[in-house]
Amino acid sequence: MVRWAAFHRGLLTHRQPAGAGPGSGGPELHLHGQVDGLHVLGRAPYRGLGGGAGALRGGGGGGGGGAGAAGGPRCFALVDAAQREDGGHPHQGGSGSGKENKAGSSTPRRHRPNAFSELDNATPRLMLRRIIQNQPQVSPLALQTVQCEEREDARSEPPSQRTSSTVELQLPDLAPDDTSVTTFQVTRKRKKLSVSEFERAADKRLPQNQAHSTLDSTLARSLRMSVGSVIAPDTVEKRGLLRRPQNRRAIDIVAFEGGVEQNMLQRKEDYLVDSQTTSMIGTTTMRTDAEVVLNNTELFVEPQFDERNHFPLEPQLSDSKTSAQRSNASYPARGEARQEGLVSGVSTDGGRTQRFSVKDVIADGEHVDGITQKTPAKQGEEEQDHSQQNDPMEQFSESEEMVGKHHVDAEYSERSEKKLSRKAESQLTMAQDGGAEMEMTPSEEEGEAEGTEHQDSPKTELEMAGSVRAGSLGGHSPASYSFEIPGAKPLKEAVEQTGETEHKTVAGELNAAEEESTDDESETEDQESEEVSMKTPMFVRAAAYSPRPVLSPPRPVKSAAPELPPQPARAKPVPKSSGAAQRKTREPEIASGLIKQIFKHYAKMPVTRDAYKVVEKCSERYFKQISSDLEAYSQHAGRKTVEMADVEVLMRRQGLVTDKMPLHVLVERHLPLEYRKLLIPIAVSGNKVIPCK
Amino acid sequence: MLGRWEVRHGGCAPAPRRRIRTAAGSAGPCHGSRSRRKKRRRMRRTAPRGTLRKIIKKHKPHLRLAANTDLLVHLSFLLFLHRLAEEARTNAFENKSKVIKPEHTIAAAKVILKKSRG
Repeated sequence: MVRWAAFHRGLLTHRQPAGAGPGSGGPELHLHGQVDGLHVLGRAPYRGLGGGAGALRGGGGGGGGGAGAAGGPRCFALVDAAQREDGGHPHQGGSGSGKENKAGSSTPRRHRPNAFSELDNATPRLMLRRIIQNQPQVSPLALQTVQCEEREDARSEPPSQRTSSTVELQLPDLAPDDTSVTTFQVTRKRKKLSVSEFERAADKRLPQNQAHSTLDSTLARSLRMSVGSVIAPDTVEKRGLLRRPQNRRAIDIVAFEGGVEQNMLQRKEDYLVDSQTTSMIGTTTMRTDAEVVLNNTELFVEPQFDERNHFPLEPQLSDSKTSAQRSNASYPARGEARQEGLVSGVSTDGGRTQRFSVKDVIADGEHVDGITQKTPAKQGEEEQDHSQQNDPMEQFSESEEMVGKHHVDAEYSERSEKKLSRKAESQLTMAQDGGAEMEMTPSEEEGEAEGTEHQDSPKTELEMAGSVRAGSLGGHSPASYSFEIPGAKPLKEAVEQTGETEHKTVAGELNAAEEESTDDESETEDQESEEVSMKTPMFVRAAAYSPRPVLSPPRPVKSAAPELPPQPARAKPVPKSSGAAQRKTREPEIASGLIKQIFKHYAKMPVTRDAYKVVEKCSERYFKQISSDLEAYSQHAGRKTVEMADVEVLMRRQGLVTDKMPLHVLVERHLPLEYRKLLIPIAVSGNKVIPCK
Repeated sequence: MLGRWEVRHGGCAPAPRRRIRTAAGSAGPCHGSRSRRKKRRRMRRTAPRGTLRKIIKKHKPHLRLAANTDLLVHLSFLLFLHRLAEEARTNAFENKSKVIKPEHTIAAAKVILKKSRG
């Protein structure tokens, strides 16, 4: 009992955390031997502390033993104290008491926290303290001085911060300094910062924290350095606040859209150029035609209208206005433009003019201005003016474009002009013939639609013209004006050519609507001779849609409306040309659409249109083959009728039906249910089989 | 074999399953829909029976066709196209092309037509 009393006294005396680490190490060993039962969790980490600073050992040898639990569980202290007392280490107790005096005489205060010391051992702060104690080498001298100072200051430390280790005497000094201690506690093991950065930050903070204590800053610095992972709040804050200056430029919608169209045009042009190079043989005529016409139509949609409108006197203005309307309308809003264009096409000239004025308000001022500028300039001229007008505009982009493509553009411009001239002709006829208008407006609309997609965003007239080309668009539009003059010279070549074509188109312009359609085709044929073969406008437009996947979503919407009216209109010329009572005797062929659908489904890959032609031919050959085969089989069986068994034999010989793959499985897989019911007999109740055999 | 299939088709239970499969696409599970994000379009399910009869009549006028033989002929035609598409696809892959071109199809047709000789 006496022992226990002494133990308690020892507890009181040796409770201080001033015990040296090494000192505690020694008695700890004793403790282990004698007091295993009193093992507390925090014991293990303290061993390291025990093996720590040698300087502390000397002074804290006894105190360490007395304190035992170097900042650790108070019970260790208790145990140590008990051990010491048992082991008869009076000097330790004395030293421990001495340390205790140094630490502070608030024994009663310390008594309570002892209970919690065990838990506190595991706190990061305490662990850090131990680490720091073990690694004072960063600035040993400063640490030493600091430690000495801290020891003196440790007395005033609150008891909660006491630890048995001598180094921990210093730590209590830091406790009151929230700035430095908080950094310890906030041990966010983030990315390791460079020491230099720490130092810099610490240096910055040094003058700030001078009020607190140089000791703290240096200690903090050393701590940070040693820890390596503690981020100085300043640096952290700076990092968090400092952001890379975001140079955000307001996006120029016009330029952006112009760039988009440029890309598309570039793509088309590349495709067109490639197709042209390969189309010399004429294998890819369709594609090139589509490309060419595609480009042509887009490019010339706008300027052509102006030009064509000039030809007729009074209707010219209205037509030009309508075309301008259409072009203008197309730019701002495709749907609206299309509808308005259609409406305008159908309406009278007066209505058109009115709408034109309205459109001027609606459409971009640039468009209108451009068109109006062109119209007055061209009114007195013929197609050449028109071509010139178009060419300069085209040439803007053309010149802007790669030089290599210049000639290509000229060709395109020619074709587009021809195309546009035809369209303008159609426009004129439409103005004159309401019925024809329906036919042409959709085509125009389609052409416009094609062009509008390119030109929707770029509002400048140059963009309108140049949008078709993959050349300069919005960004280059202002520059294109400057190019107008130099571009006009090379354009003259194209102008002359286009003029010739224009004349042709003009000649056919005044024909009836049906004749126009035929003229268009003839013109296309003429152009075919000149360039690559061209298809009908509708086909071209349809083909034009395919190479434009980007714009495909709006296209179907656009084409939906224009396609509807052309169909009834086209029906008219067809019967007229073939005669009233003529009935088309077609060879029985499998529907190409069905073949395309089935092949596409099975191929799971994009298939070129020419490949479908090949497939159609193959299927014809296949039917020829199997018909002869079936005849042979039925003949072999002595029948004149092909039965199911004959077809099964055929499929077996083809290798489709095998022992592993019965016919019914194939039927089940590839045919719809309705046919399965017919082909596969089902046994139902009543000894019935459906279909009855 | 036929008896086995008869029994199998005795009940109505398989029918709706088959129906659903058909609705998903006339191709069987092994052919599955394309993995693309494109909306899977339904394959036209009706066979052009009249056209088939006319074609065979055109080639062999004296030949008669039994009741539902044109359906089997249509089935064989579907499988032929299937084979052709697979072969063309293989050719395109070998050519490192992402599109089936006519030359791929022609080469495929040579092989498959030879295979489809009865």
